[in-house]
Amino acid sequence: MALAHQPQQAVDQRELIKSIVAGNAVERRRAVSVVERMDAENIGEELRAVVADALKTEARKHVDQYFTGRRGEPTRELEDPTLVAALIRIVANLKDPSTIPTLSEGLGFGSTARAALWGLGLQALPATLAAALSPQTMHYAVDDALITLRFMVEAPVGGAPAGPDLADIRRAAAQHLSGRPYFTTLWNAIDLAVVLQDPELLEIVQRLATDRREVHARGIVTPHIVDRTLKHAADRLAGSPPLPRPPVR
Amino acid sequence: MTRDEAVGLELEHDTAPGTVVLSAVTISQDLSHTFHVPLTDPQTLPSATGGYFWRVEDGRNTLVVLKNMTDERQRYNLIVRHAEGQWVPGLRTLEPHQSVVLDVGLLRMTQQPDATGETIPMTVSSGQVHWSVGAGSDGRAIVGRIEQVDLVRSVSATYACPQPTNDIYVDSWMDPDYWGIVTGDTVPFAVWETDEDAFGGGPVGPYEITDILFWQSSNTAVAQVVGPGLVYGAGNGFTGIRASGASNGWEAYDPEGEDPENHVPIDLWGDAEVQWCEDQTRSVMKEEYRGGQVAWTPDCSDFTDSGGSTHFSWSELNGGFTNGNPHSPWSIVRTILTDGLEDTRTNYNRGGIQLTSGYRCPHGNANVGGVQQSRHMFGVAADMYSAQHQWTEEEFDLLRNAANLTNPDELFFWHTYTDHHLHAAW
Repeated sequence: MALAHQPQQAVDQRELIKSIVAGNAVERRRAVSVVERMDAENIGEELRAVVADALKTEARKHVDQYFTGRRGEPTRELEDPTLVAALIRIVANLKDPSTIPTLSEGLGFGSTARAALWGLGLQALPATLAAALSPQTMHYAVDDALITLRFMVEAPVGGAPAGPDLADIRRAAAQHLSGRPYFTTLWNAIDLAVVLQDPELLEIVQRLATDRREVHARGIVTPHIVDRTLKHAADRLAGSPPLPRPPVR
Repeated sequence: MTRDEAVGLELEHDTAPGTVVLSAVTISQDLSHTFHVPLTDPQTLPSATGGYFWRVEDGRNTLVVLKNMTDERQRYNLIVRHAEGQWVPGLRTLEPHQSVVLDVGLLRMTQQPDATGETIPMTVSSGQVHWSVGAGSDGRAIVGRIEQVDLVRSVSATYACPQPTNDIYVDSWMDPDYWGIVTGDTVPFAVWETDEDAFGGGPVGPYEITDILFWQSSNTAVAQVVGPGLVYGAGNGFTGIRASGASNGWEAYDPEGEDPENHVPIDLWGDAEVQWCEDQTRSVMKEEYRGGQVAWTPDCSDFTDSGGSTHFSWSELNGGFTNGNPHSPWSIVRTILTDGLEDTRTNYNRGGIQLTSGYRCPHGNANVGGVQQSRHMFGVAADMYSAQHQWTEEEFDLLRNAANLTNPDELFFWHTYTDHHLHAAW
């Protein structure tokens, strides 16, 4: 059917799809901005799929850059580093459980993906856990995954995690309380552990609150960060609520 | 003031002009007075203009009676002169065959203002009334007479002049001839005219002739004429506003020739400068959003000229007005940005945060190499470093973690930018 006979909405979305898939950086960004301003119910299936693919592509560029930098190799600035955030906003606004795998690739770029995953309830738990536990995840994304898991425990949507789900969440906290986690990851693991109120995990947090050697053993040696870690653990055990707080529904 | 209840008499005859003489008698409401009113044959005694004595005192009053003799709407100009000035109501209209009565005594008693707000002072009791047929092709379209009535002495007199000596055009101008218009507003341009009383009675006017002219805008994308003299600001820019047509007064008389049959061509120009906002700076900024293909156009009210927060000054939030936003003092800085920055600083707990970029106008964003649709242009993003500590990846992550606790919408990484600044948006 010729484009001229398509319903107006379909014609516009075809142009948007074309720009996102094949346009230059300016065209792509402008098209994404237009989609960002559309109501979720008006975004067709094809456009949704294109946005999801674009999110994954852009997120992977950042991940590749992260690991390249971690290896000490030179990195180049991405053409449009903030494009991924706009794509995450679009997918998050769809509030569609089928977007969970895509959203999990958006962890680490700000609060949008973690709020969206939390909002989808326990359906999002497997993907969030995978992000928290995978060695292929940037530490920024691990941090956001741990925060999301904490939200799921502190302010569950649709039903609180229990049984095997809770055990899996506990496992994520335990993994990042031990070994040599990045200091921000350790802090988020402490927060999750205290929220879980698991006795074994609390015992670890207690040691982290009082013994500098426990902090050093985890590879954190910068004095002010060690101090901060001790204080962070002590504050949580004393009942000071962790930040960020879960979103308000 | 004219009397709504004025009635005109028209009698038709089929004999040659001037062969029929008619008069009417009117009787006062109290039946104590009768008034003899001669009727005029406009083909022999046009009496289209006049300049007559008026008097209002001790029971005397003066009435001016005008009638449109044609099937077309006609314009007339009327002026009441007195020792202290003149009363000029401006161009008036008579519908086809309409009659109107102007009661000079009533005008004075009720202090009716003219087009410029002047009234006939109570201290004057006499002067001259003058009227003239205006815009249109027939200088004899209106017949008129003036009637002096003295109810105390029970006398009346009526005057008419057979010589249609209409006012002679002297000058016209546009005033105001410039408007600065905020887009969406409508403003009034106006054209004024002065004439000369052909009877030698002096100047007539100035009076407004706005609505007898044809108005145009030379760029309707900028401004549009929506009524005589009324100009609507449609876009952003500068355009000419033209008023053209013919004067109300007539061309000068040729002493050797016939009465003038033509008016004087008028072609006047004014200027309209339309801008989006009340001030030029915000208008320029708004135009940048429209012209730069940004997927959002702010309202004028989205721009503010002051603000800041406890630890982040207005200048800092605008790159010192040299980096990304030169439009001092105007900017777009949302509360969510300043709240996010203050909370980040609190969470960081290691002294100050140095901003290297806050709000950017679209041109400023392009100049600094910002991405299209950057949130910096929406007033919700900032680039930052620690103000007091060596900027290492560890320090970056401390600051980043502090920002992450405030639920930012965008937050990036150590390797995202080659200068390793922390970009956050809320």
